[in-house]
This record gives sequence, C-alpha cells and structure tokens, in this order.
Amino acid sequence: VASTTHSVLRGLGLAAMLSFALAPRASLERALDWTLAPLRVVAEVAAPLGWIEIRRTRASERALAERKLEDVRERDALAQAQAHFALPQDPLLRGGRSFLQAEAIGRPEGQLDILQLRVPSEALDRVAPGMPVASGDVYVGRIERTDRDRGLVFARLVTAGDFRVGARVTETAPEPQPLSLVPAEGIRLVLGGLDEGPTGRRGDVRLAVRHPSEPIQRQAWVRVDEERSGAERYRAQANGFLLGRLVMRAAEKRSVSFSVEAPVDFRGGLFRLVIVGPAGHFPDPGLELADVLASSDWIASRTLTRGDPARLRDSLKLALGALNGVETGAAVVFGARLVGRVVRAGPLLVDVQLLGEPGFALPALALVEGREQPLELGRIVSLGRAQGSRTRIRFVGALVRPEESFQSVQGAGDALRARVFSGSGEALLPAGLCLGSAELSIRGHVLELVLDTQSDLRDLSRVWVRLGRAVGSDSGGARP
Amino acid sequence: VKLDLVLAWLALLLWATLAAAAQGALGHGGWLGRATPDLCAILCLALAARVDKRDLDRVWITCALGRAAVSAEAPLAILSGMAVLVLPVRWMRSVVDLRAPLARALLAGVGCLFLEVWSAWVLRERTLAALGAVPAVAEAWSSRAGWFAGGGWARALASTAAALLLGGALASLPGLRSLQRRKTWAPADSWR
Repeated sequence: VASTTHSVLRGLGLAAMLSFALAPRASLERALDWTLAPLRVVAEVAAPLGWIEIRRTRASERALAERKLEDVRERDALAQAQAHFALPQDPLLRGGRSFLQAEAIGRPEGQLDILQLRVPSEALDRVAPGMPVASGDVYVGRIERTDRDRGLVFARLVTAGDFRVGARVTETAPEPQPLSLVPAEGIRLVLGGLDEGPTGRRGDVRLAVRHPSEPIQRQAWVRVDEERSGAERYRAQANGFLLGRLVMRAAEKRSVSFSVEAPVDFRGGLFRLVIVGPAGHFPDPGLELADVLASSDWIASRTLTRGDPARLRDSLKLALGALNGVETGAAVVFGARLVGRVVRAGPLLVDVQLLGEPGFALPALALVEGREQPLELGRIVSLGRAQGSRTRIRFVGALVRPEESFQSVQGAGDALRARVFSGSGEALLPAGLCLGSAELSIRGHVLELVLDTQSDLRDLSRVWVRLGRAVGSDSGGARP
Repeated sequence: VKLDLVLAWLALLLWATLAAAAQGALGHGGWLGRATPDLCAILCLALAARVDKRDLDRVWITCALGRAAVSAEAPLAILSGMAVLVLPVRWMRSVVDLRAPLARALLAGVGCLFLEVWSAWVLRERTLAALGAVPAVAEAWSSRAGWFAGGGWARALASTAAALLLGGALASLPGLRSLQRRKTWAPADSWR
C-alpha cells in the first residue's frame, strides 16, 4: 500500500511539474529562483571552462569594441531622423500649430491603449489634457494626464474602447492628397476603439467606424474633423491629421461594412511622437538625447557560462542577481550593442536570453540604405541562428501596410540592407541600442530579417546590465 | 548521515554541473556543436542504473540542479525533464541490466531525444504565451520556427555513441563510487 501511495504521489508531482513548466506561474518560479540561489556557488566552479575558448572570447569582444563609435554615431543619426519624421510632413498640418517631441517609453501594466511618454522636463507644465498626439501626419490619440512627480505624460490611443474622434471621409485613394483638395462636405463619421468584426487578415488592428452620416460606398482616406465636437478644446489642432484608410471588412447580407486601417503599428511601432499645441505654445519642439549608456544606469558583470547545455537556448549566466538591483526584462549590452535581455533574475544569478534564442522579442526599427525615414519594424521575434552560423540570426515580424513601407526602396524581390536598433516602449530597454546589420525582406505582411551581429554573443566574458533605477553613482568604473 | 555519502552527492552535483557546462561550451555551433552529446543526461542515466532504487530520485534531482546552475532553461522544465528521463530506468531496471553498453546507449539516445523535444516544447509554449498580445507576430513565428528537426537527432545519435563509449566511465568518476550498489547481479538486486 505504501509503495502504491508513493507511486501515485510521485505521478501527481511529476504531472504538476510538467504542467507548470509549460504554463508557468510567476510566484512559483520566483520561489524556485530563491530556493536555488546557492547554485551560484556551483556555477562559479564551472566558470573556468570559459577559459578554453579565451581566444574566441577576445576576438568577439574586440570586434564589438571596435564598432562602438560607429554604433553610437549611427544611433545619433537614427535619433535625429526619428525627431524629423515625428513631425508632420504635410506643410498644411504644420501651420497654426506648435509641436513637442515625446518618446514612448512604455505602457501601464495591462493597459495597451495608454502610452507613457517622456517629454523635456521644462515643457511638462505646458502639456495639457486633450492635446492631440501624432506620429508624422497620423493622429494616434490625445493627452489624458500628466504625472509631474515622475515627469511623465500619459496619452490615450484611438484604439481605446471608449475613445471617440470625429472624422471625415475624403475621396482620395490610394494616396492622401493635400487638405485643400478635400471636399468640404465629405461623409462624416466617428472613429474609436478597435473593430471587433472579421478583418480578413489575422492580427490586423483596425479602428471601428461608427455612425457614418451616409452609407460608405468605396475605399477612401479618413482624416480628423472635430468641428462638431464642441467640447474638444484642441480640435483646431487635431483637424486634418490622417486617421487611416477605409477598407472593406465584410460583406454581410448584401451590405458592405468598413473599418479603418491606420498607417501606424499601434501595438509595437509607436516610438517617437509629437504633442500638438496651438501656435507658439511649445517654443522648442526638441527632445534632448538621453545618454542611455550613462554608467550610473548600468552594472558590469562577468559571465559564468559559454553556451547553454540546451541546444536551442542561446544564453548567458551572469555573476550578479536581484540583490544587485537587476530586474527581469533589463537590457544587456556590450559597448553600444544590445546582446540580450534578462529573462530571469534570481537573488544571486541572472539568466540572459541572447538575441539568437528562438523567441527573443523586442520592438525594433531600422535605418534602411536609400531611405531617409527610419522603418518601424514593430515587434520582431527571433527564430534562432541561421543554419551553421555563429553570428547570423533570423528574425520575423509583421508589418503594418508593408507595401507602402517598402514601396519607395524595394526592387523586385530584393532584400534591403539596414542597420537595426531597439525601439522604445518597453521598460528597462532603452531605445537606440544597435543590434547589428541586417537584410530585410518581406513576404505578404510578414517581415523577415537576417541579422548579422558580427560577433558570437555567447563568447562574451563580460557585459553590462541595465538597472531598474539609477544607482546614483558609477557602477564600478567603465561605461558599457 | 554518513559524511562520505554527503560528499558523494556533492561530487555528483559538481560533475553534473561540469558536464552540463562542457556540453554548453562545446555545443556552440557548426556540425560539431550540433553533435555534442548530452553529457549531463548520460551521467544521470548511467548512475541511475547503478544506484539503489531508493536513491533514484536523488540522482535525477541532483543532476537537474547541476544543469540548472549553468542553463537559462526554467528550473521546472529541467527538473520535470530529468524526472521523465529516469522513468524507464525505474520501470526496466528489474528486467534488463541497464548497465550493459547496448541498453544504456539505447536508453541515452531515446532519453536525449526526449529532452530535446521537451526543451523545444517548453520554449515554444512560453514564447507563444508571451507573444499572445501580438497575434500576427506569434502566427509568423509559429509557422517558421521549425526547430524540432535536425540538431535534435544529431545530439541524440551523438549521445547514443557517447553512452556506449563513456557511460561506464562517467558513472565511475571520482567521488561517485560510494553511490553505487555493491551487489553484482543487477536485476535481482534492483528489487531492493
């Protein structure tokens, strides 16, 4: 009887472990991390195995160090291009308005329709609820509130279920025309929230069309028109910004219905935005370049492993932990290069997921050769290393309206050459960290890129980890 | 508790960690990397076939901890994988002498293939769960992440060969002798 009981208990325990391995519970994993903290001692014993490949380590680190200046220069060029293209490009949208640059740095927990924005601290008092927020010519939402204590601004996106904005249909498709050509009495409608109906393509984010003043018959462009929204204080500043293109969503019982496809990626592609105010309200649109490599924000660490015993894993084990202030999700860099992110922060050990591990995901953007405007790639995710390669990593993503993103630069089926950088919008992952050079290609809506990191990131013997909060002093000397 | 037994278990933890770390360092890339045997699993199976039945759980837990010390895999995934790895040993040790070269090689090959598939499955489930908020990306990733084939088989075959050649030696590494049964007739002894 005792033996049977043991077997049953063992079977139940095994089933529970298998189940929690596939569907993890954060609290359980955290408890296990703390329980297994003494394994740091054992990991230290295995660390000297890294000396076997010391030549390769030195070569990889030298290659990355030599590229650091170039990486920083390209990051600055990217920031300038982002700042330029965050402003409306249509001259008619610049008139009678002033602009304030803002960087999306994250979203509150569980609130995908709210963006946390960083603005120049001296301009925080000038930001007011209701001000439109735009990305180039595209209207994306309005200011909801400011948090002076944290120096942040919160914007509500047009995708929020309770968001409403007045709009007008123009008869210009497929390309928008200057506002002067827009018919004065186009069809009026209200937009806001996501369209919940069948969208044709899985994963599309389309805006719901509400109360059109007359039946919509054809595809066209939609722009903001808040003239009839008397309560909107900043309607004059919002009017004319582009909302998107009306596209047919379904044919139901002989009737045709439409939704609006916005030309921006609301989920993973809003990095640099502008807040729109009345003329002269924002005297200086600039957003100072944050020094993301400031040494007080990073902590140096040596690596304890070279490679992971699990074949698919591409990881590093670091000789520090949560007790040093490291948090899950923190960026890990070498020089100005992003090499990975903290995937688990135990008290004394940190696991780093490198770029080459299948499933590594981040918001990204690219500087494409022959294209001035940075290409927002949205959220890309790693498929792992290319067959037989130590430095080439395959990524995949989904582009919003790729035909327009690529139209101006892509030849027939050619891959684009680009430099890829981290985008903003995720905590502890600074924008503008270089990932390497890449070849981009597109199939349908799927973006594929082959990234070349120039070094095998598993060879690194030391890295720097982004801290959750600045430690206020130097992290022991050198910057990343 | 005898001191020599405590030291023996610590020695197993150390050897398992070194085996896993060496496997990670050797498996860096290229065809040789993909054909790196799963040394930690081979050590676990070789010893599991030689210890007293009541020590089986300690063997896989210790080997799993050694692997967790140098791997970024979730500790629960490693623990559950190792627990399943030794299940055949638990069931078959009373009918087959699992210390015999052919039996241990076969067991190591199948066991390593299982660990490969299990590791890939856990990674896939966790990745798709994390990408759930971006269905288009999750869909694209899911349709292209075909990593069940190729390297997994190479590692399983390499593990089969390594278990055939090294299995006995791994179980007799310094410090592990006192964990092994003293009796010579394994099938009969394993009932104990």
